Amino acid sequence: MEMFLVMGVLPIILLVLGFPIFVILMVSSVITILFIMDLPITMVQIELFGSVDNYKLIAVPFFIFAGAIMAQGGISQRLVEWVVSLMGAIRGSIALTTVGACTIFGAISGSSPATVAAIGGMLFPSLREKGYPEKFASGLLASSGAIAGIIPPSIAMILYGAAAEESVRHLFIAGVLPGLFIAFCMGVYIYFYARKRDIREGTRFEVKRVARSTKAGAWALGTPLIILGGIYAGIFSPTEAAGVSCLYAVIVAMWVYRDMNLTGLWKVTIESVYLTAQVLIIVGAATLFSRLLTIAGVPQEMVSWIHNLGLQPWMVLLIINIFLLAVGCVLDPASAILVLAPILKPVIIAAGIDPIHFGIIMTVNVSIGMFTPPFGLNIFVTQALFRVPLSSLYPGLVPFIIINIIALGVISYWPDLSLVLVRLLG
Amino acid sequence: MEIVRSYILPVIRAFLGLLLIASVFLIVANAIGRYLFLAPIIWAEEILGYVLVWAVYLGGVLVTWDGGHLKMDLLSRTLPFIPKTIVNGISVFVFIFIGGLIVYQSWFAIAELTHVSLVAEMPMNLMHAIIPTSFVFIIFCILLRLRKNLTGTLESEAEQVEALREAAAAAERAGKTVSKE
Repeated sequence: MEMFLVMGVLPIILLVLGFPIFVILMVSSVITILFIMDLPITMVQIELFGSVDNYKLIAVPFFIFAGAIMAQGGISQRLVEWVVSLMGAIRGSIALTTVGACTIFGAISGSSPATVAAIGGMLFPSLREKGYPEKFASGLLASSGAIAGIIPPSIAMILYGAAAEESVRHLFIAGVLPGLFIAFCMGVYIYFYARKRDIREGTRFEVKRVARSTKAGAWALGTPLIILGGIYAGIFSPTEAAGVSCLYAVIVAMWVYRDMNLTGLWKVTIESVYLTAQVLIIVGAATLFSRLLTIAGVPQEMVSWIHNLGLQPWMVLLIINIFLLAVGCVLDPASAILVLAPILKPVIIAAGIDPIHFGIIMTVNVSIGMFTPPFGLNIFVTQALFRVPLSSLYPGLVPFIIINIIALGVISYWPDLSLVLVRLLG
Repeated sequence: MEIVRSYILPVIRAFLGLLLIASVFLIVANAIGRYLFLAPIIWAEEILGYVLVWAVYLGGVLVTWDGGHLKMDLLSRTLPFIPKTIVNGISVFVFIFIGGLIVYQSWFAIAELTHVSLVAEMPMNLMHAIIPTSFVFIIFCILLRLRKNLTGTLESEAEQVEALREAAAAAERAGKTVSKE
């Protein structure tokens, strides 16, 4: 009972009161160590150090750094130009371009808000100009940005790999088809939406334009090829691919496109260091928190509880999906994954679910949380950037939330969609 | 306060920035060494792990300075001034207590670390020392900006939104080039 109050109720109260998540996890853990479990307090130091000293996690600052260079070094602009040239003739082309550009940008940077800012800044005015209502355009941007969290390389997947001790490379391979599937589902909706509203962008497909934009964007398009190709071909580990992508991005932004100077590079470096600390300082506290739950036998109790209930694997998945969607609405993806992955892993293994497949399910869940009211981060980024009132933004999100939940259902109950490439390339 | 803003924080930023750039070179050199010269840098992975620990906890000082820790404060922000100040006060007190406890327990934990790391032979007590050192700075930062912490008027959020807005404006300018073409 005391354990439930300190590790279950107290964190929720402190979360609602607006305490920093790092502090919430630490205070619950420290009270448990000192007053409930009577463990040596020096385990705090060991966990804070040992959890961050993890080779898999080194990829996080590198991907943040590479994404930031590409967003500010003219690379994302060329990617958008390329997608526009390809999709110009299709009905709903600007909206489709938004999804396509977010998908490609997601293959470079794992950050959802950065994707909304980089792609939204370029395409939101065009969407409004071409006649898309404000609520549709803002809903589209907030939800498309979340694809960046699902398409590899994804920071959420790296964190899952570190917390659940699973291969990040396998997670990156498994995330490709589900990410593309979500983009496809959104594309289908956009096409029919534009058709129903008779929205015509009025551009034609021109081979010359495609050739021109491909030539201009070849270096930019090389980035996802280097990252994903290097990882999938087994040339680099995900961490090495992240490091190589940073160097490649610097070379392209500074010497090929000449869109970034040394001052700009230094600014981006400092921003990346800051973002890294902001996200990863939670790792130590979350690892300590989940370690204490494991020592207390919470995952084992959950496994035997589910076993006693006689639930089928599909029921377990349904319950976990509903739980994760609810958590994703109020908690940031990093904290949700770091705390819950080690606890839920024994449960899903006992239910016969592949932990790599579950990593994808968890990533999709927390990514949906990024644009689900009331607290999804992308909602507030979209609101702040494009000055869209919440009264317009919330209804605009509804169709995209429904589409993503349907896609989540397919991803959850069709494991091959995630695992087929792992079997082929793994 | 001006000494911290003008000297200590810029030094930490510069140090961490250089660490990140050096890490990029180290990991690329390791990959090149392995493939081209069949000679990987065997201490690279170990050192990069320690660099990450240093970057995260020392970076935590910068995050604490402008109140940038991840939190869900949408509800608490709507509170009237007095209840909000009380909640912020409790939050600050708890943060300082936790920071103090981390420093205190580190003292005993680090005293037992007399060994060196396996490959790079780095003294482990030195590597671990970054945690208490960072938390001393973190407590110092909270106390220096106690009033702003209590009233919830640290600039980080406004600055972050402004930075994203700048990025979006830059992207919009680029977008105009796209639509012209």
